[in-house]
Amino acid sequence: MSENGDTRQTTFLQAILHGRTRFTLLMFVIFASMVYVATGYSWPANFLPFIIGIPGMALTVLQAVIDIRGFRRAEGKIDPRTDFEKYMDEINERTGGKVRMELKEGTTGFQTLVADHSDLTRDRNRRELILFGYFFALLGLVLLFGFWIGYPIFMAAFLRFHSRESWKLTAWLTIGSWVVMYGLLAIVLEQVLFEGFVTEYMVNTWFGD
Amino acid sequence: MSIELMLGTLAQLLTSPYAMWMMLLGTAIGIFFGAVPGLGGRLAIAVTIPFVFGKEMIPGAVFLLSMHAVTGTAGQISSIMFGVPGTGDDAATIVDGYPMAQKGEAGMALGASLMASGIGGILGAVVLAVLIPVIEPIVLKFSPAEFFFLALLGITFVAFVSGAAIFKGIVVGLYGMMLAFVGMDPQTGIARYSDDFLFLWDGMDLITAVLALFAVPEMIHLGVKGGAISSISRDMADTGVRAQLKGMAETFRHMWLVFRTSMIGAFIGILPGLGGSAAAWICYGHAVQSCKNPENFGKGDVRGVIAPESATNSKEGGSLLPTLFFGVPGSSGMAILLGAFLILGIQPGPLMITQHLDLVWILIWALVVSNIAAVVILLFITRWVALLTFLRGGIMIPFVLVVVVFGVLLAKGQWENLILLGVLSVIGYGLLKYDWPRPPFAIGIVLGSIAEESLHKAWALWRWDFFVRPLSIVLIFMIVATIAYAIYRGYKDSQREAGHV
Repeated sequence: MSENGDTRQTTFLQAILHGRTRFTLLMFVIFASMVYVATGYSWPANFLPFIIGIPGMALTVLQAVIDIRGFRRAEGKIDPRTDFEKYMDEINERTGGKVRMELKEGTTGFQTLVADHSDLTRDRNRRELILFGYFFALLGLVLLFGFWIGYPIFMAAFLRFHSRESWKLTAWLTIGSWVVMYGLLAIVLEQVLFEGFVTEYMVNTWFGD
Repeated sequence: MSIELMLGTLAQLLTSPYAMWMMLLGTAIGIFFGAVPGLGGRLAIAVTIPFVFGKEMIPGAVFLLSMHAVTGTAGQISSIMFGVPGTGDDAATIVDGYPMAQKGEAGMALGASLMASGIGGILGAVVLAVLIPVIEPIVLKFSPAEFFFLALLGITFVAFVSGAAIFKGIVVGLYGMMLAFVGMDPQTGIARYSDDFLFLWDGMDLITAVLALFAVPEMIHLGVKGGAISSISRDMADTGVRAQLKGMAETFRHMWLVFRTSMIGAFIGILPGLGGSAAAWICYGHAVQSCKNPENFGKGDVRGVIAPESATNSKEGGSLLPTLFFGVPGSSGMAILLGAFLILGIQPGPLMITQHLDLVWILIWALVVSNIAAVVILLFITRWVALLTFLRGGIMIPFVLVVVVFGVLLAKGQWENLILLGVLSVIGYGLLKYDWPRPPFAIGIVLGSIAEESLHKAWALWRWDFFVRPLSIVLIFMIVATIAYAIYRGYKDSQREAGHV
């Protein structure tokens, strides 16, 4: 394979492995799985899953092609914006253009603020994983110990170890919110929430049914 | 229908301290139930039925109706502030309300939403009053065939709410529709995509799906980017009464939109089975479709807040029509309200027009006055609530995630929905991260099941003839016109981008 051919191969693989394309392919897998499962249903239960699912599969394949082509096209292009302009564009997008900032003529130090792109991506992915970790921990705690025990454990852990709040503020916010929510929802409104598998097991074991 | 009766019943309501007290109490309780995600109007009535048991008919009915009517007004607070809908009906408000909060315009969004809700609620009551003599033939004209085409019309709005990414928007809309097919098929009894998972037999819980697609991804995104919900500091943001008044003024500036969406909302409310979520999304789609500069929708356009809010509140007046005069509840909330009315000794049916018109008018006035009262009360409260958008994400995120979990547990009381929440949240975050529009998902899941059920019923009743019913033809024409307009606008936009226009 020529050198040029090798480069194209690498770029194509990169495009396939890019998160954007992988997500599109995940959508395809969801549609394909649902259509496949629908083949086991009789008419008319399978009618609309086919009518909706098959075009969904076709459109996700097309979207994947668009993603790959867009990725490869972007490979050869150089963004003409400076780092400062990119930064300002992002801020303006978030604030609806309310912020105005200008660099003094001759400023050159700004570029040092923007780290290598791969570092930024890695850092963002790490933060995403941590936050999803906390979120799934909340779900796990509630499933195991129930809402009224699981949520204060999660809240205290998040405030103290992720947000690095002081122990005092963490305790205030956790206990305060628990007292208000429990008083209002469990006592006044008598709402019964899931008690958790471990809690139920322990209550049944120790106190009987 | 005499003017004396109209004005006399208003005077009767306003001059009765007990009825007014019950109405204000109902309004305050309704605000609370609306503001806390997962509670909502249905639970409010269910919880307070013992409270009205044995009370006089009029104060009891006024209490329940006021409470139910204003839950939607309060439900938008968490939608705008944190991207957490109070109920499924409030989900459409997130699309533009939350980006407004991110831009530091929470006060303005809340003001616009309050005023739109208030006016929508009042216009819904007006529709109820005006349609009393002619309601029966209108309702009877609508059959499953028309429901199917109405749902299809709503689904075509996907093209408009997808912004620049129409292709991705259609895929997400189809994905939402596929999830709407989860559960027991009403025709064959087959448990589709649910097998032994009993919690899915009733279909995928809308609240869980909406929270997973909107609220959780926004909180993860907030944690990743850091800072507060508002991207600009408190000093630079427009907060307080001035911002709220600005939002209210925006509602009056878009009065024609408020009027149109209120009429659509009230009309959808009249038709049993479509529900508030459908009203909100159809009206949101209508707002995007009908405005000249739709590119701002989804990025914090105040019209995207005004349209669904006026629709969800006007729907209450509309859904009271079939509830009171046919004994057919227009929504699940109205079904519980109907039961409560029966407990109070109110017998819904045609006799309401001939023998109890005074009670009907008092209920109409209760709708109007409670909506005004809710706007005034919330105007004072939300001024302070808007400041929460400037609170650090590190403190805000755990609270919002806990409220999300609480809402999911309370919505159906099934722990399995927590697992569903986790799975769908990952997909929701993927949609957010890779710029897939999320509103089409909600349209798909809300209208997909309505479309399917109506299609099968219409097919069983009329076979191919359901396409040629007079109202079906009108709706088919509207669908074709909407698609043609979407294509035309897409073409015009691409021409403009290419510099040809």
